[in-house]
Amino acid sequence: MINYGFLPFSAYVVSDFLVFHRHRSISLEILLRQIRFTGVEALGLVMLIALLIGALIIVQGYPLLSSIGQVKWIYAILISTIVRDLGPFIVCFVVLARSGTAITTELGNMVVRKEIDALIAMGVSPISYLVAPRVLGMVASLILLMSYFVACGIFGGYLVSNAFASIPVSTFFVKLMAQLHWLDMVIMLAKVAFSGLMISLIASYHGLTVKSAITEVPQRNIKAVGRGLIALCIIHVLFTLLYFALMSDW
Amino acid sequence: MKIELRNISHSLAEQPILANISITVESGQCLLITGRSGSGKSLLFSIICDITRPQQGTVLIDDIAMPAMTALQYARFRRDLGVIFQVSALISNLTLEENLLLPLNRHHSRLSHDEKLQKVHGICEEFGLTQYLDQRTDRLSSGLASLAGLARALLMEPKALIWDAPMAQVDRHWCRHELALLKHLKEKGTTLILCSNRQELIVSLADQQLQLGLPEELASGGAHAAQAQKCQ
Repeated sequence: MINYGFLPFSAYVVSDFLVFHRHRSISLEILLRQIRFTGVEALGLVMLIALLIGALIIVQGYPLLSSIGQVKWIYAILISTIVRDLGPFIVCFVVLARSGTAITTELGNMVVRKEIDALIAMGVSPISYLVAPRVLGMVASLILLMSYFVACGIFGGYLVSNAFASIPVSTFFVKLMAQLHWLDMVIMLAKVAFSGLMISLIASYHGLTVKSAITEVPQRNIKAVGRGLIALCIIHVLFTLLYFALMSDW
Repeated sequence: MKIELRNISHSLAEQPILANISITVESGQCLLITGRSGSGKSLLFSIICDITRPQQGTVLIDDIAMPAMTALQYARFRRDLGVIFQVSALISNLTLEENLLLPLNRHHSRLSHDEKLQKVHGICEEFGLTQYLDQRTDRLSSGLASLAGLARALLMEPKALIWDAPMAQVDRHWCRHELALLKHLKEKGTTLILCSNRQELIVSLADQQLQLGLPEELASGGAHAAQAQKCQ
């Protein structure tokens, strides 16, 4: 359907954000649907993973740290894993597997069924109508999911740490907040926002590059997941390096 | 709307499909494009709709070449050209009502929502689609979806209508209805371009006929690749 490379495609989509208000009458519905599918319908799954990971960190870390008398480090570990490193990666991976594949499949099938041709024939730009709202929706959803993941992960950690030693909620959160630097939050948001942008751009691009056969759709999907995963790794490594560079300057 | 094809040539996978096609359809005239399966009717259809840009040659709309159109002229061309695909090509995750509202939202943003709904309900009544308005279009039968595709194109009251394989998916009742509708559109002065193998049904409407040859005939240079003729 599109016969140009990923970079021009991305530039076109990003430039379309600037004029989103002009076509909001036809694009707003798609944006809201994307947020509902990616950000709201995935809440249960993300909550389960967050609770389990938060609990697992305490189950594994608490006995080890208490055996060497360094229990205070459990808060730093919780922040490092849930907020800064593991948490954002897991949330982005869940979204890539769940919503990235859905976008590629949906757009690929639309190409095969000539729905994209029909949009063009009606004068509706597929980028403005289909891609830009999905990209914006994906970024917004990832920020929403990540906030939820942090809340559930920390809550899971608190519940399990109570099994080892009874800690009042206020004490737990005061000690946790003392370890939390504002840069942790900025890096977390930057990681998920950039990942959301890349996942949705890669998924949309691969969906729209289906030519005409339905058999191309799973092939493009496999490519989209592979490239999305590589992009996720690069983004997360770069932002982690940036975090340590900034923290060492502080 | 006057539509002119000037020296259109196009190849797919290095095989020439269309070679040097030139024809002019004056405003209010009807062109019938015929040819065997694989002769390039759907490719020519997609070139006229500007979904595919021709490798050589130009399509002119009211004497303006498509690549030279301003954004406003192009938006008008999109608004005034009704396109009906071989498959219904409705947006499958939208309801029928949302599908029909889409071109209205794009081109008639000044109309109120109620006015747009009134237009949508009016055309659905004409095509017996009212009871399906709230249904997702991927759940419609192919015949109903084909009628919905026709309704979507006519909703915008196009100045020109291009239709790939008319009367191919519907029963005899709707076939007669579509034929009557085409006659009515022609009387109203709508430019018609019909790509069809069922020429016996619509040849009476046509002012001109463009017969496309098969790619093998093109390659051998034997038979005429594309023959345009005036109909009686």
